[in-house]
Amino acid sequence: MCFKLSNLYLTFGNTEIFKDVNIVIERGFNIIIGPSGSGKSSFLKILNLMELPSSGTVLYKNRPLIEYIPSKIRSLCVLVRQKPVFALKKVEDNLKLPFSFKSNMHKRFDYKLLYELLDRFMLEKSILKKESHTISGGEMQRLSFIRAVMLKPQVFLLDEVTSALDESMQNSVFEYIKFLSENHICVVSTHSNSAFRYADSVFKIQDKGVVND
Amino acid sequence: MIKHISLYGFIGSYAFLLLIIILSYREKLNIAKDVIITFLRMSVQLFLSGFVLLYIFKLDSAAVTTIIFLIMIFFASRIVISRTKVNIKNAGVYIFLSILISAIFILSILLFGIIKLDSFNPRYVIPLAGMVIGNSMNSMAIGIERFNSQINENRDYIEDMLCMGADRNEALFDMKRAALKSSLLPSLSSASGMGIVFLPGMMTGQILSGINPVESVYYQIVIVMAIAVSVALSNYLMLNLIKHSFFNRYDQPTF
Repeated sequence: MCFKLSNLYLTFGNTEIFKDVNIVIERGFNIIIGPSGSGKSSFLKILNLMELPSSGTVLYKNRPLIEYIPSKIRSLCVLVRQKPVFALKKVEDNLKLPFSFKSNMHKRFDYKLLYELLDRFMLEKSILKKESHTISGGEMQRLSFIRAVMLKPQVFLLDEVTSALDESMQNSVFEYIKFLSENHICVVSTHSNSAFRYADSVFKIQDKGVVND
Repeated sequence: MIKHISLYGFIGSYAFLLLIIILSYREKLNIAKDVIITFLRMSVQLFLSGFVLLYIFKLDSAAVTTIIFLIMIFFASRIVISRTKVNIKNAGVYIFLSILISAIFILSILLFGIIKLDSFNPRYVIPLAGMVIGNSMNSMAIGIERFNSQINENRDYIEDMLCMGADRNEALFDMKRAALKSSLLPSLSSASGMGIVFLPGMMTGQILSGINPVESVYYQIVIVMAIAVSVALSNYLMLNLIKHSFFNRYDQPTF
């Protein structure tokens, strides 16, 4: 189980973001670093088919990504965006939302796991009944991470999911990602220094390339 | 016995415009010229359509009636596009098809199932088609604009859903529902005011031309329901076609 990227290029208009990227991403805690605007989010989006490279190939389990049904590959490789949107009125409804998609039909909304995760990330059960607009950015970040965990995908693509959290909470999230990475590919884009302690490998974006540091 | 409007009476009615023009000068609205041009144009358009209808009714040809029917839908879709000013790929084609399919469906039931015409009589087909198409047109302008603005306002939310395994239908479900609802509201509110707040145009026309008011109620109720169904159906079809313009083949948003 791995991603294989070969001869990958990405350009937006006249701006070249990636140039001849050749890497393999394996099971474990992978972090991707680089200055703001260097293409970390685009890199993660390429891995779940939300962005198409201008040229080159991306293989997942030795099969080109573009041969998968888009919704299927995205239910296998869930991407958590930096600023998630909870558009439904109640917090709980937002957590349940992806379980209504056809690609996630076989998945069960596991309350036991939910309560366990809420507890682990210092959230009260009562938050589930709250209205979405009343919760803080940090709470929303933790909740959308929890939602991704509950979907039990094969791959976790996490785009700066700890940016609104204090350091101790960041560490508990990274610890949990470490636990997940025993059986999953986790790719985490981050600016946080504490992530390095947990990472199995570090990918660095520099000079339009992605190198395994 | 129908009281016809005499020529003097008709010309005299243009004096109504004087009131608007005086108002325009007094309140500095600067619309006197517009008013005159608009009403002259309206008169010319209606006279022309009157003569054309007279000719078509005399001709009574199914082929000509069909062509007129298609032209009406063509202009209706152009008007929707120009009025909404949204830039959506293939929107014109999708709107045309949606009105066409829903109008054919509703009119077949209306003309041959309910009114039980034995031929494609333009005297029935054209005015009824006009009401069905015209109402679809007005509601679609609302529907498409609402859909477009909902999608643009919720771009991040839509992307979140896609990232967790939603397909394009699931990602746009809420926006489609909101658009469909707002396109249906005007028909519903106008239906609830009928008979109390105002008498609908068709019923007024029939009553003035001497038909028993109760008889005209039958017609009116059937028409109002046909219009509501065609509004719902045409908007439903249009939204389901047009949603594809917001994605590429990999279900990536292109808006």
